[in-house]
This record gives sequence, C-alpha cells and structure tokens, in this order.
Amino acid sequence: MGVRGPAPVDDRGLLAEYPFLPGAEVLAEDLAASLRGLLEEPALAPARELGRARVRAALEDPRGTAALPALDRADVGEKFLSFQYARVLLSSLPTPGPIRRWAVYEAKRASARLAGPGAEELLEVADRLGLGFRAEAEAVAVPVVDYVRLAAPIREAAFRLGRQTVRRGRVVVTAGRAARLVEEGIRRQLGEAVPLAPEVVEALRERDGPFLDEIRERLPALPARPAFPAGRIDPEGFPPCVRKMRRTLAEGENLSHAGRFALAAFLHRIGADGETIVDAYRNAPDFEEGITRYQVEHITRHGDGQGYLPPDCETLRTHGLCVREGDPTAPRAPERARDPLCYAPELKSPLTYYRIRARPKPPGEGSGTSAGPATAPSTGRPG
Amino acid sequence: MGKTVELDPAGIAVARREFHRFYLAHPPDLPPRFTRREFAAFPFAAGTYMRRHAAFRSAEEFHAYFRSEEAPRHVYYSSAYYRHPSHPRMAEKEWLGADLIFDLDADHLRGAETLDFPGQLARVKEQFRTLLDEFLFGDFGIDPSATTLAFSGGRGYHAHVHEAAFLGLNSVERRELVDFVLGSEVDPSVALRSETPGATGLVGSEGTGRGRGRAPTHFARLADPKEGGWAGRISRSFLDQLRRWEAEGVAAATREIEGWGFPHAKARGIARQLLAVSARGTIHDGLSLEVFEGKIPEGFLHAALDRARIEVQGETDAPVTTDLHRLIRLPGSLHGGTGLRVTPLSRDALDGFEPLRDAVVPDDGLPTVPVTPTISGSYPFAGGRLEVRAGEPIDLGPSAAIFLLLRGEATVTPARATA
Repeated sequence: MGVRGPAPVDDRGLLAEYPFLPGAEVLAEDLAASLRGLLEEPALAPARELGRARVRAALEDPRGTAALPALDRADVGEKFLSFQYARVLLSSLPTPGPIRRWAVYEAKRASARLAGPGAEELLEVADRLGLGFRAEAEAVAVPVVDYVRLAAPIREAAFRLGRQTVRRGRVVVTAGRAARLVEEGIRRQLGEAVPLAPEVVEALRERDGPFLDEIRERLPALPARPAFPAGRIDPEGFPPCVRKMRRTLAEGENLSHAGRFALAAFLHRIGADGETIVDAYRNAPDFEEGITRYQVEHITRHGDGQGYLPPDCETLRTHGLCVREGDPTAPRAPERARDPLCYAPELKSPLTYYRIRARPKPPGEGSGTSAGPATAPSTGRPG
Repeated sequence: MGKTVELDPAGIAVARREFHRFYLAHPPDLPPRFTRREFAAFPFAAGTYMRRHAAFRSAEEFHAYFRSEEAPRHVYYSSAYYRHPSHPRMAEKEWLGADLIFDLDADHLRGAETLDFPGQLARVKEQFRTLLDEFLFGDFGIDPSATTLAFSGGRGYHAHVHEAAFLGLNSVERRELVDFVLGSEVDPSVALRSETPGATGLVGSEGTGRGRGRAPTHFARLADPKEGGWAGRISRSFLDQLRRWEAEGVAAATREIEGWGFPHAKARGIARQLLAVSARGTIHDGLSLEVFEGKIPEGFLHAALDRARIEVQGETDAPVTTDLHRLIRLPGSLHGGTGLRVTPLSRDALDGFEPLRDAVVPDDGLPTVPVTPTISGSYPFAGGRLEVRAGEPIDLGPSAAIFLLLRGEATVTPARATA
C-alpha cells in the first residue's frame, strides 16, 4: 500500500463519516437544526432513531465491526445529526460507562475506514484533529509528543516507544498503526461527556427515558469478580505496601506505574468494584478519569474477567514498593514500625496478608459484583 | 534532595556570610514563567526545615529575596506551572503544565561506588552528553534553545525542557519517554534483519501488531547503524564492541562471551571466528551476521543494548522524573551541600566543563577562612589541588573552606587555636 500526501476528499462526505471533526456542524445548516430542534423537531425523528441505533450498536458490537446498514443509507445531514443525538443522549447519563463504550465503538468504526487503502483520508482526518502526521515514504511520521499522548493508553507492548523507529522528533509507523493512534485520539475525545444544561437533560429524559434506562441496565458499572467472597472490603486488613500506595495517592503525590498497577489489581482481587478502584486514584497528580477508567477496565477484565493478579511480594520489593520495614514518613506510629506478618514464610503476596488479616463484612448492599463482558485487550503492560 | 550535613553555629555564620556575598553579586536568573512556579528554600539555621509554597510576583521580589542576609542554603523551584503556586495544598494549586526534567546523578549510575568523586563526575557527564545528543536533541528532536542545562552543584546534571509541546504531558506519557531513554521496553532483536526483505525482528515499523512475538528464525544482517531509534543504536553499539575486541584481542572477547553462559571452548571458537570475519570487513561493511549461522547469542545483543542505554539502577531512581510536582534546584543558586554553583550550561560549554574548576565560586582575593579538616582528602579544585590532612588546621580560600564545611569534612577553627 503506497502512502501519498493528502488529496482532495469530498468535504461533506468526509465530515459525515467523521462527525466529530471541527467544522462538521455545516452538515446541519441546511436542516436548520439547533439542539432544541434535534430534541423536538418531528422531521428529525429518523435522525434520532438512527442516533439510538448507533448507541445500541455500541452496546452489542463494541468492536465496531458489524455494518450498520441504516447508517450507510442515511444522507450526510442524518449521519451528522444521529451522531450528535447519540452523544447528547449518553452525556445526559450520570455514569460515564455508556459514553465511553460508545466512544470505543465510534472510534473503531472510524478507524476501520482510516486503515483502508491509501492514507490520504487518514492524514486529512489527523490534520483536522490537530495531529501533525506526515506521509513519509511508505509510512507515516508522527511527532514524538503526539505519539506518546496517543500511544500511552494502548497497552500492547508493540506500541511502546522503545520499539519504534524514532528519528529527529518523529516516530515512523505503518499507516495501520497510524490509524490505530488516530482511533485512540477519537476515543478519548468522544469519551468525555459534553456539558448539558439541566433543562436539556430533563428534555432528553422525557423523550427517551425508557431507552436511557435500557442502556443503564445493559451496561452496569465496571465489573468486579472478586477472589474473595463478595462483601465489603476491610481496609484495616491491607498490607503495609497497599496502605502506603493509598497514602501516596491520597496526599496527591505521584505513585509509580508499578504501584498503580499493583493497587488496582489488589483492590480488584479483594472484591472492590470498578468505581471504588477508580476513586482510589482521584487524588493522583495526573488523574484523568478516562485513562484511569480504561486502565482499571483493562486490569480488572483481563483473562476472561478474572483480572490480573497483583504482583507478589518479591516483585513489589524490586519495584521499591515493599515497606515491610516500616514507612518512616507515615503519620501513624504502627505504620512506621516493621510489620512482622510480612516476614512470615508463607507470605508471598499482598493477597495472602489480606486473607490473614481482613475481616470482611457479610455481603450486603454496595459493591457491584456483576461481571461485564471481557472486551479489553489482554496483552501489554498494564498499570 | 540529598543529605544535608548539619553545621555548627560557627560553620553556619561563615557559610551564610559567603552565600550572602555571592548572591549580592550574582543573583540567579529568573527561570522561565517564574510567576507560575512554586519556590522552596532550605535555610542554614539548625533545626529548621524547608519552607515551601513561596511564589514571586515580580523580578524585584525575586531579587530582593536573594539580597536578604538570611541567605538560603538550598533553593528549589517547581518544574510545574500552577495557577496558584503559593497555595499550601497541592490539589488547590491548579497544575497548568510542567517542564520535562531529566536528572542524572552519580547516585543513579551503576558502579558509581567504585569511583572517586572526580571519577563519578566524569562518568555522569559522559552519560549526560549521551542523553542530550542521542536522545533529547537526537531522537526526540527537542530544540536545544528550548532547554536549560545545568550542573547540579552536587554530583549530577539537569536538563529542563521548556518546549511547549512537552509541558502538558502526564506521568504515563512521560514514562514512555523515560522507558525509551532507559531502553527498558526495548527488545534487542529490533536490531536484527532477516534475509527475507520486510521480515525484520520485532521492529515496529514493519509489524502489524499481529506479528508481535513472531520472530523470524534466521537473522542474516544487522540493522543499518544510521537507522533511527533503538535499531540503529544497538547496531552501532554492536559494531563498537567488535572494534573494541579487535583492539583487545581474542582472549578478552572470549572472557566476555563466556560471561554470557558459553563454555570456554565454544566461547573461544566464536571469538576467533568473529574477529577473523570482522577483520575481513563483512560485518562492518556488509552488516552480515552469517558468522552466527542465524543463532546469534542473546548475550551479545543484550550487552550491546546495555551499553547504549542511559545507565541507571532501580526503576525508582529513573533519571527522568515522571513526578509532575517535583522541585528542582534553581540554576544560578548555590548548592548547600558543596557551595558549588548550580551552573547553567550551553551544550557547547558542557564539553569543556569541569565542575570542580568551573562551578567553584571565585575567591577574588577575599580573606581566607581558618578550618580544621576532619578527614584527609585531595581534590582537584579551582584549577589547582586541594590537599588537607585530618586534624591539621589550615587557612583556605572561602570556596574551598565552604566546600569542606558543607560536606562535613571540616569545622571552623576556633580563634585561639589559630594563633
């Protein structure tokens, strides 16, 4: 596949396929559609129906591989408005799960086109998204900063910067990889809810309440499949390393990659639900809801929804995360002291410590225990 | 922030006086966007601790601070920019971005403990040059004019990248850059090329994601040493190693190959053949690896990778910080553990820079300070040699006296003992 420079692409056609690009609003001009119109105008009922279809497709086909014939048949205005309607519908929900799922779907859809033959469209879309992609011989050259921003949340080892051809500020990737990077950028952009006025949220509920309820039922909060009997977690039973990780984050200090991974995997395995795990990172200096959610999802859904095991004690020690000798910076005296349990011969993992110390309460209300579909990629470097 | 030796009152008085004198004559330059930075200072007085969360609203305020007689012992500023830099709670400061900081310290280098102080300084400078030329200005394409380079005043060097595109990167994204510099995510087989065109090692430029881990079975060639990224870098390192062996001979090569787990006879065979083939130029000119018959010893590649990466020990001491709130020594200030100047440097100036000569504050005919060393020592210092014996009082120029006092290697000689 040869890569040529951007060639003229039919502008309205392009915008209809990538309705998140800046300037796509022009597609709705002929229809004189305002947000109010989009919600109420009887003539726009087909666009609304198509918007709901996009959301349903996202729930049923998170990989964005199945065709959506109704969408292919729609005219450019409907394509655009259905996208907008799906976006405001999902933005009106109180939890971010559904809009993130839909963002993955729409990004995959776009990516499938972008990875098609010829890179003109890819370069054009990247350019409109403000990415400095450039054709280079048979490949695409991506500025280093764009590359790390887009590739950091992709867990596959093959995307690590250390494995790329990097020269003079540019990362040279195949057109296929470039499409995957753009997909990541789209996913992140669409995964953020658009701010809506309370009246709009109300109007959406009035018009599409049952549909919104259906989404919430079909896409519950992040899954948990605990290794421990379902029940409330007991922070008193956490080993010193986990306490230290939580303190670090709570104080707004940085926790290493390995630490973040260990904490999420540990919390997951002791039965914390996804939301609780995400919340543990909220004070991190670089907290980003989207990235954290994505990573937690990855860690907790790995291997058929079992989730990763937290690293064992030895691994934690090599990462400098073990504090069994006591943490001199801890505010409470017991935590500054050496923890004898950590030196017990059978203690090989922070989970063993918890199993011995924790007194989980019997199952009750609270932590969700339903397992969602395991859709996250299962390779690469977590954390 | 390193350990700080506690000084007795006489030591404090002398050091503070000299720091004050220095700051009156040489106020540090303002760092870029200084009104958005948090400043922190460590005073001389015993029993005091770091004062954080200071901010300066104007150049005048900044300079007035350095003119005060309470000269600070250590001065730091945040690599981060904040909307409210002086707010005491990190969460309320509102992070706006942060310079990308690279901090190479002798503490981080493997084997540093076997070197003396000047030896450590030389080793860390060499690594710093590699970091700049190969990685920052090379692969990352960072504009040298958008960086501040500085000798840390202690045992290391700092590079501050102010280039706008890098400022907004979060920790995870910075980690990618760290890993690249450390070579920690690199599979050394990226430097191998198989006979079949297109079927390279695990290199990203050809893989489709699906091809990950599906290594070709026969490697015929080494990657072009001029290639970008790690493939070319490992290839260059590989060829360098070969040149070194050519100079050192078969015995030296045999010993190293044995170190990769080969029995002596086998190692000797490989070394002989390698050097014979190498002498014919097939490897250097044709990048041919036929001598290995497709089974290249992994140790060879790992050794090549190891020598090409920035050498540090332990992930927690990564030389590039992923900490977005980090405090770093202010260039132009004095290091409170040595009295040496945190010396701003251009890339060109770095080559000829000798910390123990060029970062020493000139004595300019100031009166000497009577000190009594507690340990004997001999350093190249300020262009000459500083030789002291434990317990033997000596009058030293202020910079040498301060150097020993702050390092805890001398005390101020009481007045009656100097007579």
